[in-house]
Amino acid sequence: MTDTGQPGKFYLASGLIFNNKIKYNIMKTNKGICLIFFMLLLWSGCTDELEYLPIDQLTTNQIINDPELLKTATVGNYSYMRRNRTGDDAQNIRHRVIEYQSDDLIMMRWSSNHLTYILTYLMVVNNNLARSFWNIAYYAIFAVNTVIEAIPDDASAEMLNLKGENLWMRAHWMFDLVRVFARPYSHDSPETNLGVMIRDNTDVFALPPRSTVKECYEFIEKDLLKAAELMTISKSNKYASKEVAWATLARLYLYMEKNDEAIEYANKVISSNRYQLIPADKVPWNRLTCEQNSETIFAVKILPAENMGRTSIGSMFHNDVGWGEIMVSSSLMDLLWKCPNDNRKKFIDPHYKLDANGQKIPDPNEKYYGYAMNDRMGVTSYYSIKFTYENGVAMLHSPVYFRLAEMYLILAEAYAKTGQNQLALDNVNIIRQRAGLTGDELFRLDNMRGYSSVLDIVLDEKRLEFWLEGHRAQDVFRNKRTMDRTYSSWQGWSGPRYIPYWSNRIINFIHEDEMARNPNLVQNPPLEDLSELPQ
Amino acid sequence: MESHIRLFRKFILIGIFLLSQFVALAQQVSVQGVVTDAKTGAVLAGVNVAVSGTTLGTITDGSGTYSLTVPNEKSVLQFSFIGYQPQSVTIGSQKVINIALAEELAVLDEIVVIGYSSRRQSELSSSVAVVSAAKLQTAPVSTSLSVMLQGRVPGLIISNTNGMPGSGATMTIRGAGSIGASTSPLVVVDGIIGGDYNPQDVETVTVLKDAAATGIYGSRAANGVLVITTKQGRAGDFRVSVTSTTGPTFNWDNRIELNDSHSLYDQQVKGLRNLFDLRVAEGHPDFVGKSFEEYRDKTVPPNVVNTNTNWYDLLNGPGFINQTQLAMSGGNERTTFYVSANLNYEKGTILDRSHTQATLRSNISHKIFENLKFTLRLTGDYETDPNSWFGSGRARWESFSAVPYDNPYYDGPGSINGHLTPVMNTNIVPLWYHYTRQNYILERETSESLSKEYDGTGTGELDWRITDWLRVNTNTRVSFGFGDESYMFTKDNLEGKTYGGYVEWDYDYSTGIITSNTAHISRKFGNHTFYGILGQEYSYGNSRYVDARAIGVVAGMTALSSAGTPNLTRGTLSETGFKSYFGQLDYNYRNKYFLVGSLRRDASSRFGPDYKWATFYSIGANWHINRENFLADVDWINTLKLRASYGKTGNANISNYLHMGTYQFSDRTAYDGVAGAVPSRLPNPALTWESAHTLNIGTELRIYNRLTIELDLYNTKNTDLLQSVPLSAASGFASQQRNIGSVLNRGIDLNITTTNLDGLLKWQTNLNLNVNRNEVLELSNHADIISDNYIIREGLTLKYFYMREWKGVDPATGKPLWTRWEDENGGLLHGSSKKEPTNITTTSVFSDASLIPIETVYPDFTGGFSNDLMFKNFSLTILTNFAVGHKVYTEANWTVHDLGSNRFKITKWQGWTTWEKPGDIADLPQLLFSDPYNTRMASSLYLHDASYLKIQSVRLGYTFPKTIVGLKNLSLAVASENLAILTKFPFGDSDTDFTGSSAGSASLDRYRPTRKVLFSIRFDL
Repeated sequence: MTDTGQPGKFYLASGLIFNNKIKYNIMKTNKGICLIFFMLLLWSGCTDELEYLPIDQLTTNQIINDPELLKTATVGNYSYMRRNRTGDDAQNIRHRVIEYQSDDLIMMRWSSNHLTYILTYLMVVNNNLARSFWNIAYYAIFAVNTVIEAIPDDASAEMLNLKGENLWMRAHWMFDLVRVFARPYSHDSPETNLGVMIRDNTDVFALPPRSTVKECYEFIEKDLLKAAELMTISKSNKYASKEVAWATLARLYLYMEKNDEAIEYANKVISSNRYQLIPADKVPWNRLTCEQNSETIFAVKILPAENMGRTSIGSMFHNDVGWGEIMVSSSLMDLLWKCPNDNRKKFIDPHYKLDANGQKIPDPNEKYYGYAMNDRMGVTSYYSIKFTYENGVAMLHSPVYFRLAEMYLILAEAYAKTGQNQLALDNVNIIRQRAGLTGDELFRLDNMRGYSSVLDIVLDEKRLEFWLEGHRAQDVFRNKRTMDRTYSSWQGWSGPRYIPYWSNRIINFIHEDEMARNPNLVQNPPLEDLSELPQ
Repeated sequence: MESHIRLFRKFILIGIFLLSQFVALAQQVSVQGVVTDAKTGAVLAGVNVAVSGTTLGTITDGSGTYSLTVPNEKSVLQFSFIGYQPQSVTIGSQKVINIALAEELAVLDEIVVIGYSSRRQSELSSSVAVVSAAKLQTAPVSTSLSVMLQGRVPGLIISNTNGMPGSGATMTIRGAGSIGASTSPLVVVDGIIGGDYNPQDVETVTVLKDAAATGIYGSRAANGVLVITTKQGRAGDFRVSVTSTTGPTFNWDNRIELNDSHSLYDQQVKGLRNLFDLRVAEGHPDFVGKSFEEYRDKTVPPNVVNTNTNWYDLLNGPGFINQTQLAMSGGNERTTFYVSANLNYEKGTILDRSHTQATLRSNISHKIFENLKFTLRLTGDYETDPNSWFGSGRARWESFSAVPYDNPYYDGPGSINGHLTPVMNTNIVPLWYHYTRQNYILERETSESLSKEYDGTGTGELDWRITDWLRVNTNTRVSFGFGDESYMFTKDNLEGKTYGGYVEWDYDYSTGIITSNTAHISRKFGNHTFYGILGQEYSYGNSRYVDARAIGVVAGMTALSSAGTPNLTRGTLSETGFKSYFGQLDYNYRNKYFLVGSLRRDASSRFGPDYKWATFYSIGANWHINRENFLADVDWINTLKLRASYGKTGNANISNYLHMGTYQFSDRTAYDGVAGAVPSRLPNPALTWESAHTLNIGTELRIYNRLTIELDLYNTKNTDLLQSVPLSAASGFASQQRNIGSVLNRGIDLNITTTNLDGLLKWQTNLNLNVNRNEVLELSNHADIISDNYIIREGLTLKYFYMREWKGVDPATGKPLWTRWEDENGGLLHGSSKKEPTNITTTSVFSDASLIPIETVYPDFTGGFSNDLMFKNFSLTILTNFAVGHKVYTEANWTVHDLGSNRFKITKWQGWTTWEKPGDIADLPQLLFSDPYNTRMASSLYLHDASYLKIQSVRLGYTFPKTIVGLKNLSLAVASENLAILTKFPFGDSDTDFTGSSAGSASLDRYRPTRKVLFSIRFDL
């Protein structure tokens, strides 16, 4: 019989029938006494208190009172960015809610997956992707808050660093949440526009209302400043560090149009000298692991054993193992092909039609590659390899949240907005040079290559550098521009072709389940009819 | 071990002690005789012959004879035999006493096993129902007892939802008391909670329904109790029995019409055309000035119709079933045994699924002394399911969602020996239309999976009759279960491709012990009779699993060690325990007035320290009116009983550890190869037992020995309902297990049995009916609990549809319409606001429509109707069952929103119409590719009336009157199951779960119970 380490549990089974405390001669005496003894034994034999503890779980009290376990909990907190507890793929959901509104992608057909509603700006109140993202973010914030509350401000440097990492994570999730569910900070007016729920404690019964956009950004700013201060220990780019907090602050200030602060923090990251741009000959860098990639400020590490295959980010964008249903848009292709030498074209994997001998078929009407291309339902097969083939493994990819190139382009945008056009172009050119561009392919104030505004140059460069990486939609809308979807295919494409920045369609509804569970929430305004706009 | 040796020594000593008593008896009258059946004259073996007032006795042998030495001539011999009326004879001067026993009218006063004890039916104060082995013999063939009981027992509501080989049905007794904790009744096998049994070994099933019957099971009896007794050998009656049933099985999906390539293409083109015209009319620049043909051909090229794969036929086909049992039983006056071996094999009606089960049972009883009986029961069970990874529904699902344009073999249609189509490689196959982009045929041929299960139990029971009024009994079962599942996916398999193929082995094992120890007192003082039970019970169980995966499979090798890299290892242990003390006292006066009371105190490890223990009780009374003097002359009333009971029972059928707040480790919570933990559960230290408070008033009437009516009225209030409550994400958790409030089930159980003809042609009819009303009485803070498409709200039933209300199709536009509630400012109101709408209107915008409580999930009434006819040696049994008034949510992808999953012909059986032009009054909106108006989202459009009457089984049997070629009791039967169903439900069999946790929804592609044509043979050697 298995020894369970709990004496008494099986004692009963053998001891209850008879026990050596009964003398044999009892049998000769009164049967009633015998019975009473018998029954007493049955009752006293049972010593099991039925207090079993699970062996793969710890109580919250154990965690918050043990520094080692707080580290374990922090590891768990990082895991939310990889995958949530129900098995949904957190990073894929995040990518879908922040990227699919961009003009860099085209889906070959209507899909019954709720990603379609985001992709086509036909937001619905029961979008399960928006719900999953909301839930994962708040579950992660709760877990992070548990660790933050458990570390006092006079703890050791190591513990304070841990607290800083958790503060950064809270800021990161909040930053994503306000982006998906609230209007950009730059829109009128952040003081009254509704943001998201602020959760800075572990009160599980609180049902907070939505704070304003301004309150949310200030909350994030406060967390990031504190995080940068607390993180004094150097950690690899798979973990938060003060440089990660600075990079986040640079992005945050840019979004808040606090350009001087954006410049300050972007410069802090650059001058830390921890990161170097990937050399031009190593582009495309998707084959590098995050340990090998000198440009990565923060990436969510995915081990080969954790490869999510058809539920990974890359699955939609490439067909090797993946679904391969989303291709690169023609408007991005046109931008990429403005400079024939731009090595960022290497992130495109064109699928050629082959003849009977396996040879490509020349086609002068194909304006990018000059060969006949495969298509899927009329959408040309320009796949992207940005999210696959890490170390050569299909669909393996550790999503990069911050990389050095963004810092240069934050500088460029902030300089452009503060009228320092030369500095803006200098920073743009750093990125263009790495893209293999030289001479007249670089921008000068006297060679704007047809652009009339430096800000336009910066935003297009950011698109060239970061397409599909989750920046584009936010860059368009926070700069009060219109999303141009006129390239769209007609296969089930029922959404608007132009989406102005002021549209209610640029943000997601809070899921109706969550609305029912927290009566203090106010829903985002309903979708307006955009058919009056020139289509 | 030492304790076992001690135990053995003790037996010896008790034995010696008891033997000394027998020796004291000195005596000298011999008597012998033959016992026969009074009607047929056949000799009866195994008849119990006892000397009244002593412990002496014997049994008749194979030729019906007995011989016995009795104390003196005043001794009284008592002859008793199951199924016969007992007789007593005073010996006097007789040396030979031949006895003819008359058959007992079984229905009148059966011995009913009610768990810890047994009673004559006439003595019961409680609502119980008994199903005998004879009835089970004519039941549908299944490895699951629940399937065999469907429609047989009033108040036992069984929905048979799954046709997967080896699967069972869901059982609920008298309405859903809970949807958060299991509603399955407690199962008691041979007097002890839990245990394995093969339905073929079952002698009787007793269903305990009211508190007077279930009270003694206290904590675990809130959902009722199923008491199962397995067969036992009879002394002197050695027999070898063979039973075999075999036959083909079929799907019966003829109510579902699937498109072939041509009709699918036509349907899709229609949807595309409508969208195209709509967009052109709107002036959408993507469409204006372009040709519809170009749009159509880009989306669905006309050549798709060149492939016409019938996936349904590819993945479905006739199955086969065989159940064979070999049983041997017999014994002498001291030792009896029953041994059986069962082999069940079922080939599913979907590709590659089958189930093989082999079980063994050995029941051995030995009287160590006349008053000390030891019984050992052993069971073994082995089950195996190949291709288990594909689950019960995968091939069914593919049958309905795979697209006829896709060919699983790319060398061309019909080329079964061709290459498999690797659908993800778009260089080989430019298009694959099935939206999952999976080729089921490829998947199965590039993977292997096998599930095996081994279970065993050993039960030892010692029953010591200390005096004629005192008996103690100890009954202990140890059990183990071992599950072994293995998977292999090659690198050509979608599942395996990411990892270069992988091998995974899962093992789980569980062990358990339960011990039940009781003392029974039975005393009579004049007209007063008492029975008492005092007992204690303890159980402990644990389960542990290990799961390992390695990646990089070489050449289809299937050993874990043959894969290259370790990938995943996980495993954990879970424990659970119960501890109980209980007592029961029965009293009757002149066999006319009966009272019963029980008290039980239970602890469960599933609750926190302060909430572990709970007390349960019951009290019942029974009045045999027909035994009163004023009815003494009324001989046409055979039985008239009135009974009432009240009691409290409990339910702890939830997962372990739910009261604790914990951080959990798993493979998902690690990061960068370092173990991590995340908060997994919000603590609820106050979590406690769910309780059922049941009042039952019942009557039994039997008249003219032909008509029996049993009527029970019950009122059950379940309090502290266990429910997982969904939480706002602000809490950090998805849900919390709570005791949420109370629900009322009240209803009527009616059981009418009539003997319509009793001559050469015998005809017996049984109708049983349950009418149940369910209402949520109170919820904590009166707060609704809303999740998915259901709401829990005070005043509604526990499960109630909550979704958008479908208001048909706008005749002018062809758009869908849903109800919209508005407040005084025109703002949108949902039902959750509990505000009365100022204005009720309709909208075609899904997000602008209101979520409102629609209607209940539960049926108005359920029941069964059976007819048994006998003519000479022929018998005919017709079983039907029905459920009326419930709705099922079944979503079909009506619209052409997705080119991959719109396989259903929407107008064939259902007769639905789609909107074509302004003015049309249609059932469904205009067909529009991409479903721009979100018709497919949840609404009451997808609620279907699932009322049904089903001919569940028709069975014709013939029993040979005499021995044929050495085969005794030879009988043959032919039966058909699931013969027909009468229902308005549009998608075939509507026999779905309608009271259990999944009540209210049924997927279109579920694996329905199959139609079977069965031949069976049964004989004794």
